[in-house]
Amino acid sequence: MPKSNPKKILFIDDEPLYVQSYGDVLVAAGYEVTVARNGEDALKKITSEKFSLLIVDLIMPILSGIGFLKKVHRKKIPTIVFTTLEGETDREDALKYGATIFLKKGETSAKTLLSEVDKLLQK
Amino acid sequence: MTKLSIFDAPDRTRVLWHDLKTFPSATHVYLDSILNGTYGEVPPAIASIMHSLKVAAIKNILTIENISILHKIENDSLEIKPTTAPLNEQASSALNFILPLATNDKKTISLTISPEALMHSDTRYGSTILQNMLVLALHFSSPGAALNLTSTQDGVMITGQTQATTQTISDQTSAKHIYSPEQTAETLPALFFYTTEQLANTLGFTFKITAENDTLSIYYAKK
Repeated sequence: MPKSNPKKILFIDDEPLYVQSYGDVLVAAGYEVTVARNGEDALKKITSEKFSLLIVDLIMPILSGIGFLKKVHRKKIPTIVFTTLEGETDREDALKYGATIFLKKGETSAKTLLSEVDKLLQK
Repeated sequence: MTKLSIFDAPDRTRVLWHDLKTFPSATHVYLDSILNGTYGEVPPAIASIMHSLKVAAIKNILTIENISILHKIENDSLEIKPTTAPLNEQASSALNFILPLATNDKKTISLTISPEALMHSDTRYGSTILQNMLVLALHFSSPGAALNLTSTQDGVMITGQTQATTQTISDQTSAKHIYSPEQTAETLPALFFYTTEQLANTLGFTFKITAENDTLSIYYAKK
């Protein structure tokens, strides 16, 4: 059900299949989803638009997820780091640079992601 | 044997595993999303093909993860920071990921996992062991009964069992030799068995498969 004043989510990922499958579920739930294909693209979008939530992949071309987080973590935007990386160091780095939660892409269903997004945006 | 240079660079290796997993993982998520009705009802014939593709994608992901773990063990670069995680959470995650493989499978299997085995293991690798146990259980299946896996509410133990006899395992006193890594005809289960055994050993636990009478038992517990 579309919401009258949808909250905006910036989905930063270079893999179109991920963006489509997860993004479509978020859109169907009433969120407005903007896509950025890498950290640099996301930086441009974040300076011209206000987002309620960031969903950030870690390994991307041009500017990685951690590189992006280092530049924006002072903005205090709720952030889901969403990656197939599994190392403890990746998780620690992400949390250090402002990730609110760290989810494993692939093992997280679209429904679970939606549930986490709902929780974060209802805070 | 000379190593490929790419394996000498940790960052490149990390990206390599990531890239290998991206396609099957994204395919799995996308198919899951379609099969769950995100875009409307899927005709049964197409849904069946999509389900098969999803299963293939999951097998692919698990295989890549197992090779990645073995590579880390052999290079002594496994990151283990023991955490205490609810067993049910791990069981639920492993089951959700693996259950698509179970369609049409039949077996007589008993899975036993001691609570401390996962509670004191790194969460990530505890889940991998659990997933591998389930894959091995499914691989041992033969016509007779449906797999019935349960997880207790208090997170103490996971058991899975069925009622039928299976000829494939009834005369085995130990199933371990079936899955020796050298046996190329059983490459996938051999990989899963070998990885699980190595990983459990690295974490300080015992993993073994035994067969007695009609029941194949998969056991994972503290040494």
